[in-house]
Amino acid sequence: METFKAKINRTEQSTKLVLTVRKSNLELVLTDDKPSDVKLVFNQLLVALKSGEFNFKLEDDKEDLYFHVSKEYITQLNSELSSVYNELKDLDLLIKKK
Amino acid sequence: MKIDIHVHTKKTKSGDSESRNVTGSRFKDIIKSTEVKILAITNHNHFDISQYTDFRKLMDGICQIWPGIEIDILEEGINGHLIVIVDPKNAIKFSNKINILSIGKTPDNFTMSINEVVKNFDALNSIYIPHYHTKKPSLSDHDIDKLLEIVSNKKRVLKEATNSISAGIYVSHGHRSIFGSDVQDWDEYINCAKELPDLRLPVESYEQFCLLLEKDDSTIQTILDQKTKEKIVLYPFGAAELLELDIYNDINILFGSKGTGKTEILRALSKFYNSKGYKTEVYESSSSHLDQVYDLKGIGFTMNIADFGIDECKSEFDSIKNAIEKGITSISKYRQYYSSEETNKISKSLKIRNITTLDESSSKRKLKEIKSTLEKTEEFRDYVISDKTMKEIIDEKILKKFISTINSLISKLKKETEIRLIEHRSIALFNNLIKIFVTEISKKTGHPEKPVKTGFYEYSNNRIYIESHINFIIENIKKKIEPITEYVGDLGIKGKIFCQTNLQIQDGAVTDSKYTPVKRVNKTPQKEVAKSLNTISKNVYSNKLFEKIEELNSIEGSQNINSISDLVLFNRHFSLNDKTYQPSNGESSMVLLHNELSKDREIYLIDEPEKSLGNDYINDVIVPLLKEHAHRGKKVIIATHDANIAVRTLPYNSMYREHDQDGYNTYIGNPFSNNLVCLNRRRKNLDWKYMSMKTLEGGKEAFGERGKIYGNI
Repeated sequence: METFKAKINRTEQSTKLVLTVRKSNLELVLTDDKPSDVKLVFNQLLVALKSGEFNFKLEDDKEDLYFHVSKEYITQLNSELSSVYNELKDLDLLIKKK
Repeated sequence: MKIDIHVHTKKTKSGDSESRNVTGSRFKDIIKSTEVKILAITNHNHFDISQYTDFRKLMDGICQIWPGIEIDILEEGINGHLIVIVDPKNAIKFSNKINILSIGKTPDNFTMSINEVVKNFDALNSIYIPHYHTKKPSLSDHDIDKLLEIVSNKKRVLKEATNSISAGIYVSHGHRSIFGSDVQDWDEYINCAKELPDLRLPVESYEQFCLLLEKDDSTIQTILDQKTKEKIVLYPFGAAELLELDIYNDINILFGSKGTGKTEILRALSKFYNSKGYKTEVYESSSSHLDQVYDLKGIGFTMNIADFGIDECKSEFDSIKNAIEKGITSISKYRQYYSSEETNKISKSLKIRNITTLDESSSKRKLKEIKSTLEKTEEFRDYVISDKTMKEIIDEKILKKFISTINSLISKLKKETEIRLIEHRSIALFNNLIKIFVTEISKKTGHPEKPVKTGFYEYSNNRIYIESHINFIIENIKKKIEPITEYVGDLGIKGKIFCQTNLQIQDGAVTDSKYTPVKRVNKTPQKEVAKSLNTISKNVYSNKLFEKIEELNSIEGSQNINSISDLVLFNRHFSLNDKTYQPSNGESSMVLLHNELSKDREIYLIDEPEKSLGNDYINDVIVPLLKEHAHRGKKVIIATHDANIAVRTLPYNSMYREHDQDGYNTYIGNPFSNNLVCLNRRRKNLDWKYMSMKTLEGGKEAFGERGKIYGNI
């Protein structure tokens, strides 16, 4: 299983949780509520899972609200990523490596 | 009608018994006391024309007397006997020939070779009956083959057996055979005549007997190969007109002018036979075309897609059509939870709320798997226990041991099921516990509820199943169905005609207008739905997925497309030499009639088979087929205007229908008796030949004229 980095990107306009999956960065806006953007990220995570199991490790040293939110979110997401991977595997939907 | 083809009326050879001599009056008395209606005088190496003429006159109206001789054949130094019977019209010529051949010889030293016999007697329209096998002195197979080779008509050679049993065996093995009394003592003749063979049909003359020889391998009834008739009473035209018909297990012809009720008689026969438990129907040539019979439009076509290894995908269609997006947990909920400061000490100490929920789906799947395995194993055990064949074949001990082994397996599977059930229930209980605590803490403290999942699992799981289902549907859509080819018939030199059924599943790209849907759906929605399914499969992991599913549901008519069968397209055509072929009306009739006659039936009822058919096809294909059925003892009843069918098949039974100012009449007869007898006796007998010529050939004059024209060509 691969472990990817999760970082918090704090700017004046917004704060984002940035998930780095292989070569792509997926951003979840923590300061706004846009379910469609979250779903877009979920779709990409799902596609990425087909190529192999992974989870995230939060790398952040500032213990603010976004840290706590992100920490909890990543913990839960990791558990769900694992369940979804197993489901993909059982249904033979993983991308077979050549 | 009994026949005796081997009768001695004189002691001619020194070895002959005196008791073979018979006077005219005694001969008459004896024959009158028997059922013999045809008798051939065949004395040894001698023909007495004056005795023959006397006997013939004496027996006029009682029994037909035919001229013949039993000749000593000498071939390669070996002697065998051969009976030669000639047409009574040639009796004088026959006598003259024998007189010449007998110059300087006595019956005791008279011999001929096979070549000499054929050379001298073949032109007299002869029948040859060599002694065969146990009938001594016999001709060898080699001699008989020689005879068969040089005679003008092979059907005129019959092997003489010793009795009815031998003759029956010879006939059943494909030999033409007959037997006669070979009378030794006229005192014994009446008794001996009881065993003489019965002719299959009464014949009027030598000429008619020769016709019978043309028709059948056996002219006589044998135990193994009998021609029988069945009397049938019909009312085809209502109670006013009763018909009492004899139907033979042979060819029965119904002929007569148009409008004399032949078709009605056939239908009444069909009804009669069906009431007896046979399955018959009247085959009417023009009633249907090959296109209809083979259902080219596919009106009655049904199929089970599973037969082609394709899944219906019903549940998958249903799942896709009814799929809805699953909600996710809003990030603001996390923000809200962590923004507010928790003050309640007890709630702070409840660590359970910080625990993440466990993966419930994985344990659920594992439980489902083992349940299915357990169920199948139990089913198999029950099958083994209940199967009678298994009990019959397999030793009880082995079977018990086998069942005990399966029970051990089941026991193990049950234990594992229990473990997996506990695991699954524990996880579910645990997750539920977290949820309850989180909710209750929130309620009691007023602090926002802590989200327990991001919603990624439910969201993904929904799409995973959509992908799985759409993939399954598309995989099945892509499967190819091999054309189904059925043999239709033979068009002679053109080749064999086949009916090809092509099925393909609309994948969104099929545009061939020759194809029509199998199910009651329209082509446009079929194509649109297939295209839409392809689009959905490309958007499983896009935000537009449910928009695409909505588009699928909004296609007009898509509500009727709920399985792979609903996407199946049908095309059927005939093919000849691997190319699409449309048979003409004539070819259609040819094939349909041929197929009808190729069916294995006991009774064939055919109405005007000649319709739309050429004479060459009737002669070359249909007449031989009809003869073959008659030969196999089938009942073939044909209403026809065609002389080839009515005459060339030499039917045992000809039924002639006539209409005049007094109403309808039915006559029964055949070419062998040359009579047509009126059923209700209101009319005189008709001449079969004359009526056949009149009705089927356009009259004697027309027939003669055609003969002259052909003769001049």
